[in-house]
Amino acid sequence: MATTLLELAGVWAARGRTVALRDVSLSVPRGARLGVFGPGGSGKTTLLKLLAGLYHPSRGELRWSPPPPPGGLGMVFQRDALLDSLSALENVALPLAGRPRAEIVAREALARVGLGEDAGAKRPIELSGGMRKRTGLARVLAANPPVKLFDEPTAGLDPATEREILDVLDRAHDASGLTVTASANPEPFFPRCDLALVLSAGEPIAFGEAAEVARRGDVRRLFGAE
Amino acid sequence: MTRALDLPDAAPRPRALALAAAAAGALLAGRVDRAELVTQVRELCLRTIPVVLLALAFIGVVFEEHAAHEARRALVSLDQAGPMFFELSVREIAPAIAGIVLAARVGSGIAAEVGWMAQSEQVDALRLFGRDLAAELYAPRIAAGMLASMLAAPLGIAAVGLAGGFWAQAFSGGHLAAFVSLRLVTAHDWALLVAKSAASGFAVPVAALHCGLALGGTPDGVARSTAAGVVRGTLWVLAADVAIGATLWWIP
Amino acid sequence: MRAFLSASGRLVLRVLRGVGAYALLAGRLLIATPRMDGREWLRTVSIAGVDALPLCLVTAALTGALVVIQTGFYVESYGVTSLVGWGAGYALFHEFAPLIASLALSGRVGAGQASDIAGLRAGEQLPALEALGVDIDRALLAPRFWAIAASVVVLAVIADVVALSASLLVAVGLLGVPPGAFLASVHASLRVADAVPGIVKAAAFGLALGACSLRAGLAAPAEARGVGAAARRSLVATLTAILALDMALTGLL
Repeated sequence: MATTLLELAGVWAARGRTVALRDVSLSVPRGARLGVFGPGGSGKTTLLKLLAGLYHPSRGELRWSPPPPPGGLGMVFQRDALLDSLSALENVALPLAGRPRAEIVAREALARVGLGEDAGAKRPIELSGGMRKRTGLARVLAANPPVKLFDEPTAGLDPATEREILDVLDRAHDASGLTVTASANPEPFFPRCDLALVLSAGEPIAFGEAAEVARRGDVRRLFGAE
Repeated sequence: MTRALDLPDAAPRPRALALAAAAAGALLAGRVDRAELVTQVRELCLRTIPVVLLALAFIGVVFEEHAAHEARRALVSLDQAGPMFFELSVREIAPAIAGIVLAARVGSGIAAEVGWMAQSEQVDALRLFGRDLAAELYAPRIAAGMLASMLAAPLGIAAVGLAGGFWAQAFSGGHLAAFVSLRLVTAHDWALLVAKSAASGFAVPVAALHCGLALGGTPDGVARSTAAGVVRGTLWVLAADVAIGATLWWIP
Repeated sequence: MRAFLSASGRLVLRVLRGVGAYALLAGRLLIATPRMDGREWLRTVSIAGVDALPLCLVTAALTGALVVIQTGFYVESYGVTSLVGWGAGYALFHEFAPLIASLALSGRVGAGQASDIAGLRAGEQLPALEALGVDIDRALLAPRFWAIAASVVVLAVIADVVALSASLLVAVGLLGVPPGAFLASVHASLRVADAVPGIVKAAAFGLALGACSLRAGLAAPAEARGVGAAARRSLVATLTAILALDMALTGLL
């Protein structure tokens, strides 16, 4: 077993008047691909934002060993989180500030998700939902941090684009880092993950080898497979 | 059963004072995103000042009507009230009404925009990429708000005086010159004007930014943060007005 | 020259469209009023009126303090303590209480209603209700319009009382005017009739606030960002309408 990179011990998170996460404990080795699955409102986004350092546990502990360096963590947000005031290309170049050849790298990243020059010059408001999603993905690919967090990376995409994006996500994984993917529709992700965590109303109901978790009856019922 | 109320919120809670301090630090150090500053000056100043002028011109006429009514009742010349009227515009009416318009126009603009940025996770993205929120988000909006406030006050005084004076000359038998007379206006009055305008210019954007960041994350975040931003801004304008008026009361 | 003509043409068209939209809204409200939903009226009064009460109290108190500080300045200069009560009362009743109360409410109630209506449209609840055969005018618009107008009148009366009390406190505390002298001055020079122009103004401002906020909510683009735009437009329209009405009514009353 590889060395542990990330450990959560009894993590609780409150958001407003609700408890978004209840007592989550898990440990993830370096180089793992972790899937976080659960219906809408089950606490997936809260967990990803805790990992990103945007939220802090209300109770319990979250340990990285070692913590990702500055800029060593990227995230695709559920609502895309593209800045309205910048073009798609400038959005992709945002985390590259100060790096050499930032614009060329950003352009290559856009090309990898199938967006050309004309899409890159547009503002987010002029792009379709699927194109915005791909721009957000390109923003993570361009910076290529070892730790990548994907919040619903394929939601709202047509089936052909979804397969394409899944392949891009597969290739983007860094064997010395960590990839975490959250989705309410786990079917396509189970075979592409090593570990899976299933949340229901903030409670972890299953955690373990992805293939095993995928076979569990309660998990299959939760996602309506039975 | 653990209730949410027993746990601290996982999201960092923005504090208005900390936000104001960070923004003031960035402004004093000159850490202001230039492109964003230009955008905000265009958005906030150009769209606010005409509304301030219109509002104060209306107010000028309203107060001239009151003055004319009282002058008729007391059997004195309306022109005697003119210089007092103008002094009152400098020390009170112009900064207070300009502040309220600022809270409505600048406050709602900033609160709606930042509330939307928080709701659509743009603020999260900026924080994740380690961007300088004080320089890119806070300082340009506060600088533009202060500029709008400092420009609105002198222009607004002119609008009050000219509108009131024209009305007096045209309908009440007074003279325009009496309503723009600086005879009674002292350094004390100018100090009040500058202090009140600077306070509104700073407090309105800070209140709006704070409401946008604090409430933008909720489901109806944009609507809630817009209404709250305007209300808080208005309250801060009036509170600063009272506080500054009461403080300068003691200074001769 | 051509640019100027086309710009002024556009402006005229915009004004005409605005006038037409308000006339249409007024017509819809008038037709729906006799059969409007009373429960929605009560609900909106409780939301708009009761929620805005604390804000109204604070603004009224601050306004009362402001008026006395300014009157006090002239009292100090000309030595006419006996006039503080009259000055504050007159300024508050005739002008400041209705003006400041309705300006503050345009933020809390007006922007809130505009963004609420815009939100219902963005979430497609309004089209859904209409498709189900619900008469939006009777169920939603008319009761809310009258609820806003009624709330502003009641709040303006409360604001009168609170502002006058606050000005009494500040006059005694800051200016050292004897409380008896202040009250005597109020009593001698102000009659109940002096409150009437202020209440008439408040009623007009309330109608304007209701019309502008509903219209802004109905006119905003039906999407998430339209909600903020509705609030902003409602604020500016309300502000302009209130000040213009103030000017017209001050001349009449």
